[in-house]
Amino acid sequence: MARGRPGESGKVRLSRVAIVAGALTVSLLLDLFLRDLVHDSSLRQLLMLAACNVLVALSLNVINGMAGQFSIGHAGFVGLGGYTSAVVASNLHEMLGGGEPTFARSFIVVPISLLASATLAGLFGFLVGLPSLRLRGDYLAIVTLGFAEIFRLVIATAQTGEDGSVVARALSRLGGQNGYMGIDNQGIPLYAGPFWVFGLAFILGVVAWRIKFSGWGRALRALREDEIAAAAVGVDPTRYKVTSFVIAAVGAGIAGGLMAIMRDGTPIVNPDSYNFQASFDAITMVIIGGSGSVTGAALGGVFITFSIKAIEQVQATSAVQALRTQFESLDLNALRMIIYAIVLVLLMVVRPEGLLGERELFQKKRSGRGGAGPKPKLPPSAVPDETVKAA
Amino acid sequence: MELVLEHVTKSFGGLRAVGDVSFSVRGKAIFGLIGPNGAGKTTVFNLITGVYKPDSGKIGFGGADLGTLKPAQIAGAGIARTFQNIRLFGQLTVVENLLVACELQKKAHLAAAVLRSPVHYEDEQAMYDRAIELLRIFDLHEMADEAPTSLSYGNQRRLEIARAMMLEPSVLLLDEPAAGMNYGEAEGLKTQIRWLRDTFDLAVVLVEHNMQVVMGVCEEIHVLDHGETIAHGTPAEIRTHPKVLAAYLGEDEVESAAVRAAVEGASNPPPPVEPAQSPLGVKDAPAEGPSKQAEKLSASELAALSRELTESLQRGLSKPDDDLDAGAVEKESANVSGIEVVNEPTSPVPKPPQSAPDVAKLDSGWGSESDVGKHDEESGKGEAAPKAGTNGVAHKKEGS
Repeated sequence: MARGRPGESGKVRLSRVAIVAGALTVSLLLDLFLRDLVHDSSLRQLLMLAACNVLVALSLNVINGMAGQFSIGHAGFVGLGGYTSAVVASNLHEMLGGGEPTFARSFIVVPISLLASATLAGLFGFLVGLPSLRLRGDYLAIVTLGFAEIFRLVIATAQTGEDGSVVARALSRLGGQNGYMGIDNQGIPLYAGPFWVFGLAFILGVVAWRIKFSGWGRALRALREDEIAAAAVGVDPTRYKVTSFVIAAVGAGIAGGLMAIMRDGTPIVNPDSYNFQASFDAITMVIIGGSGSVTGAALGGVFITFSIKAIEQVQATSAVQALRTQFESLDLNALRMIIYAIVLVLLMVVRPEGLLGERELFQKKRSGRGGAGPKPKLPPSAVPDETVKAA
Repeated sequence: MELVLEHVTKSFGGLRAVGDVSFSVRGKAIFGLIGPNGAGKTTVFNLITGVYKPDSGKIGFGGADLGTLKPAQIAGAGIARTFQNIRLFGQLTVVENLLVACELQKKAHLAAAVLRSPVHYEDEQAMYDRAIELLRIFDLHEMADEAPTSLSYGNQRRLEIARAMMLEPSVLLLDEPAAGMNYGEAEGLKTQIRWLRDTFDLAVVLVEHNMQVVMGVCEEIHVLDHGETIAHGTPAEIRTHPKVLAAYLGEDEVESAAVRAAVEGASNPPPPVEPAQSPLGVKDAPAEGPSKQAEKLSASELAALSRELTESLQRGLSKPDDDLDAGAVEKESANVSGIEVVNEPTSPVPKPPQSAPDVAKLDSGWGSESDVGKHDEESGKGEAAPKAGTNGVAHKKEGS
């Protein structure tokens, strides 16, 4: 637990400013030179996707890890953020006159798009969080899954065309099953370069860390351990649980928003990218890394992203392609779920708390603080004993 | 601050768990709430702390109506509690368990924590210092960074009290604090409860089956049976109250007990009834002396037996803190511990003068849990050995 001392706060703050400045500079340099560093655009896409998935895992970690709730519909919030930022960015791009997305303009488009994503996702997080007060375990999981599926199906099944009510017309513009491809199907303007993706991943990672190691995070973990006891010491379950849902949804909204307008990404958002498999991927990230661990969730996000890519690479090898000519239904991408399932089962047997458990990488060892200091007071029983003796 | 219950009623379906209960806890009282299992004691605690809302009646506390507040707000208003089955936050460290109880008093909220503003640091530091201070008081500071699950049973109970004290309450509700304690530990608990009251200037409400503790420490006792009030008064009044005896032992037993009491009363003059407001140290000695001498072994053995029963039941039940669930099954153990009630009044043997030092030794030795090891060497070894058996593991940990 980071505990600053008043005397050091000036130095601490200076070093903090230096770290933030350094991280942003690195992101900026990456933004300018990533194209030269990594020539393969699919690898660039993968790197940035990993950063976005880290955000997905970090946000889900607030609900599933810290609050101890079980959400299996996180893709719903990610998708909500994705569609929102895709629509907002497309319209802003149109208003700014179209053309190539430039880095300078991204300072207008990206913040506004992500703000819209975060707000809308947070609003729905609040609505989905409300039932979490009454439901727990499996029942809450079903509610979250229900939300994600409703979101996906509402968009996927919208009829195209200009008839119907305002809502139906608005929905129809989102492209239905084919996905949203920007205004007049020009494609979504991909504004978010490495500067935004890596910069936000860094900043939100720090935020997640601080949330965990704040009094609020502590109270949330206490709530997870024992709700009645937590309420008895002044932690209001309603407030903390709903807030945790909102925070997680905001994080997921930002992650989804970034993914939708990510440079080197696909200029299209598709309802199928936000299906149950996506939610399951998010859960796998959190569980593999260790529920409740911020660095664990980040590791899980990176690992899952790259394993998806690795399986795709294996799929492309000639041996597998040769097999596919014989067995047409062979699809390693579908096998991925089986591989994850096996990994998860093994993990649950060998290390049920995940790679890191609730611990963190780089966590400071706390030691000796309790033992130091002036001589302890007498234990409670010792003082009145004297009176008993005297009587 | 005064905690007032006025005609409080709570039903679960057709079962009237608490019916028309009224009492008030004033200032720095040590107030006992007793009754056989299923009497509704824990339900009363749950009503006071807002876990349940009363069907009718009013629970007032210093002008506020607790019936309209949430549990967390009630905790903030100055009512802290412990639980019958220990409820600690297992994945948090010992000191974090205490820090959770600071949430209401904090000035820095989530935004300040994320921005790591100076307020956040000041807050965290102040809270941490207070938590360590309290842990010191309860002699747990050396385990501050350990997991609470690694603590001995007695230390876990004390940690729960320390956590409750973190709220700076003006009323402390203790739900069966002596559960699972042996004779000596219960003696220590009595002195600890008084010490808490005097040091922190608060009222203590006690739900307890252990009559040794209840009769020894409470100044006022309220007796419930089947959710109804059956008696209210000083320990001396409660001990001889016919309804109380009937509730604990059944009508037939009371008759024979009354006969026995009458017979023994004729041969031995009864001890003088102590004044209600007398200092505790004075009040204690005559009240406990006789029964200790006459029934020491059998009473504590019975207590141990009932404890084992209760514990095994607690483990088996999904919601063991709810008196109602446990009520039917725990009747047996109620009767076992109940015998102590009748033992005390029916054996009014004047305290033999030569036994006084023994009692004092016993108190001092067992009173402080931290120097149990020392105690084992000098005194009470004979007393300790048979009783420690039921709670041996926890005990050894404390000694070492």
